[in-house]
Amino acid sequence: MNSEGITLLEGPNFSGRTTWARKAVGLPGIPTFTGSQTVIPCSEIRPRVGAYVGPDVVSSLTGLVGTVSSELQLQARACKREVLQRSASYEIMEGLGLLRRNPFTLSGGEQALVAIAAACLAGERVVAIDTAFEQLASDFVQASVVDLRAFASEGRSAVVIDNRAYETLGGSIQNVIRFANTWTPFNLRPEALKNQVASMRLSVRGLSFSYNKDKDILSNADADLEPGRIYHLRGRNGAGKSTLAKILAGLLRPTGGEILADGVRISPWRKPASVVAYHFQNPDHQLFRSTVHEELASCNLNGSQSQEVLQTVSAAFGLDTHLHTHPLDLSYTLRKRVALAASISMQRPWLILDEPTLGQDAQASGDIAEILRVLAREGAGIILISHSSELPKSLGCSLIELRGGTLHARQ
Amino acid sequence: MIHPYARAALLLECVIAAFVTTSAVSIAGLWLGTAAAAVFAGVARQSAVFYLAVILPMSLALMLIHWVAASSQTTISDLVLSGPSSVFVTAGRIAIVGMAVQAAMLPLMAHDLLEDALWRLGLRGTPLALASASVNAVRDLTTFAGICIAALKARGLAPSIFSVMVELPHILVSVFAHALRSSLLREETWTHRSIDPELAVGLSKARWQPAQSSLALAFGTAAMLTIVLTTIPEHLVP
Repeated sequence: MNSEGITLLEGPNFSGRTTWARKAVGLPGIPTFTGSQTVIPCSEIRPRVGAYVGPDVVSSLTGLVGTVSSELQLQARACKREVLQRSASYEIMEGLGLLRRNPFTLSGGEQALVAIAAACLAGERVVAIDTAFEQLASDFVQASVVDLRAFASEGRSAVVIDNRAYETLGGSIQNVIRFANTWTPFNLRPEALKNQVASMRLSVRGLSFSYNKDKDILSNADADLEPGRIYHLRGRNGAGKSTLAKILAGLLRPTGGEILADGVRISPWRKPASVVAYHFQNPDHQLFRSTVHEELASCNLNGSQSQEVLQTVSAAFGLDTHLHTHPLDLSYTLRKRVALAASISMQRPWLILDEPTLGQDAQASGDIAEILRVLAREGAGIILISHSSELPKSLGCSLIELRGGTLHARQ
Repeated sequence: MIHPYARAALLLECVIAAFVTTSAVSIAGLWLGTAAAAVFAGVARQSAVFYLAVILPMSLALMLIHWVAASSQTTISDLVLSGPSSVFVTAGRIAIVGMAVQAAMLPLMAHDLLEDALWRLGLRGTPLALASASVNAVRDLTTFAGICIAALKARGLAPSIFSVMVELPHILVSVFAHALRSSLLREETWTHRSIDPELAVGLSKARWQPAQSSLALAFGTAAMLTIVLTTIPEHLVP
């Protein structure tokens, strides 16, 4: 592997990229954490060779200190370095007031930014970033890439696993190492899917929300969303995309405005998930049952439809051979598919999907896109929250941009 | 901001109700007494939710514990060898007081002052690192549990508080798996990046002054809890 540049590990899921990256930074193979099975202890760690940031970015933070500022100082001091206050990431964190906040209370993208910045401080010779870039909005990506290039320019190596690398990192990639599957992956079968939901028009009028009185997350937001279409909800990290999704799904109550379904005012917070099924970004937040079958079957299905829906959804997501496996025994990629399949099994008129292709390779992302096309064709409305620009483009999404608390729609 | 008086009242009430009296009437009286005192002190409105959502459930839990205790006739010498009811009662009391300590202490202290406060309390080395990490872990786990409950609601599995309670075992499995995964990965990070947990302290000693008021309460609470837990009256243990 050449130093002085960003090296991309390119290949499909399950091709060994993560294992390779972990070994490159001095870590043993992937430890497995399960609900019912094995835990492999990390016994062969080679300290201070490098730093690794995995898909679960919070685990790359020490959890020992209460602020982002202290976290960066701690990781820098461990390597006898100084926090670079003029680094691109640091300036963004300072500008957004993240330095004084607790790392556990940040949004997913903000946590990823901090984790990558900390890894650049702690890595001695190599830094490996596995999937974390996919969680970043474009301005955060730019800042992190500047930091990584600065790291690599000092004779060190930066390794990236990112299924959207050519889109996000572009010309910064200097080396590519290609991986191939040595076994048959779990193929998705979008053609197996059928949708049986009623179509419904969704509108928001003057929607407002704030977590505290100082700052409005949403301010007089208006939008009309037609069924059978896919909308791309875009905005920078922390702009309020997840907050809007939670309001529509009934997890938060807006401080003002109204939500209309087919012109009739509804109150989703009184009966969450009645109109909108919300798929969270992190699959580990939404897997609760002891088998994949139970996970899919627990989604408020009714009577004779339930078995049919379960079969079509599990077939579409390539999960039919895993129905009796504990969801937490599956890899991150498959856990993500189970969580997505569970949301679709709910058969609601509207779906909000937060980064549905996170951690999925090009083939799987294409198949998931096809699943979304099938659902939209059958009449479901879909709101896609994604930092990818390629996926919405391939789906022909209508763009809704969340900026300054208001929604700006574009066809 | 919940008034410090309300937090202190909660702690005092839980300690008294867990270890000094076994009467459900006394516990109810204590709750009413602290609430009335809050009204007279003019802080009741500010802390009303805290009184109703935290202090009241804890008082009810203590009354339940004492009701269980009243139905069993064991002594302190039976504690180690006895059946589950006495263990439940003792564990319940300690858990309630533990929760009260959390509710009384932690939110008062700005999080970035915590490491300094613990250091000034005299903690050093591994105990200090563990205390600091465990407080952060509490924050991590409560955040995670909150997201899990939101995800349950988003899946339509928990439309009411009752159904959240029914789903509690599933939530706990998720939280446990998260705790296991996080702790293993975090330990790996510490080792791999040569992070000495003791380095975590002293990062912000310049901010010591604002921590002093919180420290007084923290120290008092810790001292009181230590005294109470080490001198449990024998006749109060079921």
